[in-house]
Amino acid sequence: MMHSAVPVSTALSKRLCKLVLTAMSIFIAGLIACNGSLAHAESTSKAQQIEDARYKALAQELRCLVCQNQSIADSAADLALDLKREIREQIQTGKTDAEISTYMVERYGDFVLYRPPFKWLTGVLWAAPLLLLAFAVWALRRQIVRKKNAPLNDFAATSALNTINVLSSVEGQSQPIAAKPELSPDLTQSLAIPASASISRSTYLLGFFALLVAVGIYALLGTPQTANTAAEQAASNSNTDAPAAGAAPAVDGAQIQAMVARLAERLKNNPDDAPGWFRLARAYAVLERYKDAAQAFAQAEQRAPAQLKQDPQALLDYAKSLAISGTGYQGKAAALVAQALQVAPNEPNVLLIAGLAAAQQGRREEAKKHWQTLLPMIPPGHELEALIKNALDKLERGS
Amino acid sequence: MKLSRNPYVIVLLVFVALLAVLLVGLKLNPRDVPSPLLSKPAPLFTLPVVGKNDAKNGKNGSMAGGKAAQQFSPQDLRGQVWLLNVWASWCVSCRYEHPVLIEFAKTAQVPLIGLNYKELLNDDEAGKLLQSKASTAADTKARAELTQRAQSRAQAWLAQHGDPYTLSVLDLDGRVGIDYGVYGVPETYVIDKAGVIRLKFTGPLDAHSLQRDIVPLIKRLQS
Repeated sequence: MMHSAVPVSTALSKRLCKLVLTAMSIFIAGLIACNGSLAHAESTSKAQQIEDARYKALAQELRCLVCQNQSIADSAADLALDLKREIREQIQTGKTDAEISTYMVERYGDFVLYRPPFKWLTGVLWAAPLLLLAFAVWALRRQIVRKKNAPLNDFAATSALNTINVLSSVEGQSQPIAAKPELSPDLTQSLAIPASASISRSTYLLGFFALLVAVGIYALLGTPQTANTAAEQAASNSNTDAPAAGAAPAVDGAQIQAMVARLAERLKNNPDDAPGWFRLARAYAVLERYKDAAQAFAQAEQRAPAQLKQDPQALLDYAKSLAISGTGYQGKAAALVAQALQVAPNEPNVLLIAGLAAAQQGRREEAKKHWQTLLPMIPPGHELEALIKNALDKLERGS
Repeated sequence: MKLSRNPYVIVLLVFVALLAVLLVGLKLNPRDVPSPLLSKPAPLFTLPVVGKNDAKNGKNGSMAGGKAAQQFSPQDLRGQVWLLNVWASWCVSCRYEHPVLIEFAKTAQVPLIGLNYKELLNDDEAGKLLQSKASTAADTKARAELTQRAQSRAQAWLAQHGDPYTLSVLDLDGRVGIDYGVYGVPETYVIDKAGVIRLKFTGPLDAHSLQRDIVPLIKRLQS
């Protein structure tokens, strides 16, 4: 079996070469056609035609210094217009293309030419594509050679073999190549080469190195401070007003859902984790799953009642969850709000909810008091300002 | 030969080399195009001088009235180190640079010549006229009017922002600008006693680069 695999892979590389050559010749033919079509400018006389063609060719060979990535033919920059005028005039005074190019280079340097001259300095520029191509061909060849010698039990090799089988059957070679090489004793021998092990190690090394370099470059040139401040902001936001900020951080909804599900799973196995229950409850509240939130808060309260009593935000979230999933701010929900008010009497969130709870229970004076305390704390122009004023008006009118 | 045995080591090396090149490229300023005019004689020209403001300089200013406008050529400054600063009233960066020039002019011992580049840039009618070659008498007359308009604009700008220049010349159609390889106003050239360009600074000058690059060079060229 082994001896038939060798000619087939050389046949494959021959095919590849042919394909590349065909593609290249089509591309080159296209380039020539493009250049030729430039000459077909609309003009009246033959001389005019030649002049236009020269003008266009020159303008496309010269870089616009202002825009830098456009030729002056394409550019509408003021300098490009001036230089086009200059080209036109110099053609009319009988200067050759080379003279006009020299005129430009004398003023703007080699940079003005889209095709820089071949000097020792620009040699790298010219040679780089060829060098890179040579390197790529070399690497590809090595890869093919390696494939040929390496165990053929991976998917890529098998599918390559299938392709070759199809190709050879088209060509009339009736003998298909075995797609299950592990049955061949020759190939089982070649399995002894520990190629795959060494590959994976250096691949890991390469990957690690690339990561290291990327981080290094970012540290050198990037602005990691922006990421830091964003994270800090997100963190501080979630400390002060969790419901509002919960939706804001850069984590998307699906990720949050997954994280919450994982947390819930963990707590099922380890139900004594009180901080975990708090986190889960708050997450549910943010996700507006109030019934789940209320249950999680109940679990948290059961395990750490003292902690709940000291945390106004948790108290509010618990109260809100109960109120929305149940029957408003009554009983337990109202008690929680009262507790929050006791712990943090000047917290805007607490005042807002306390006012709401009081209003729902018909204690108008109390609601008014809370909201009036709250009003000066709201930044002017915030949407809440209008809402509170409106609510106060309603209270005033007694509706 | 252990190195060449593992192709991944070579891939790694090529990758690192490429990375180094790209990293250097990241740090370069694409606007810093080296001028081929360095160490070459400053291109010659003869251009009309922007009149000094009447209020500031008495009689000198009213040259547009009777005689033809005063002319300036780089040869007038042969034997002196001098600065050529390209500016225009429409140039926003020039406003940023201007205080630096004014400060410089207070203490400088060298002439600072302003090259007013295409003052009527945003004037379409003027642009059309300047693109064509003056052939008829009417054209010539229209051009004289354009020069007049540019004169008053330049003068007004200098009156408003201060005039650091020994004198300024009008390059209405930008041809002298092309000769000097101007592609982004403002630009500043240092020209030595023999009339050779020694330095080109592209973009607005700031006090730091003036003190670091230009002032020491002037001192050296003068001695």
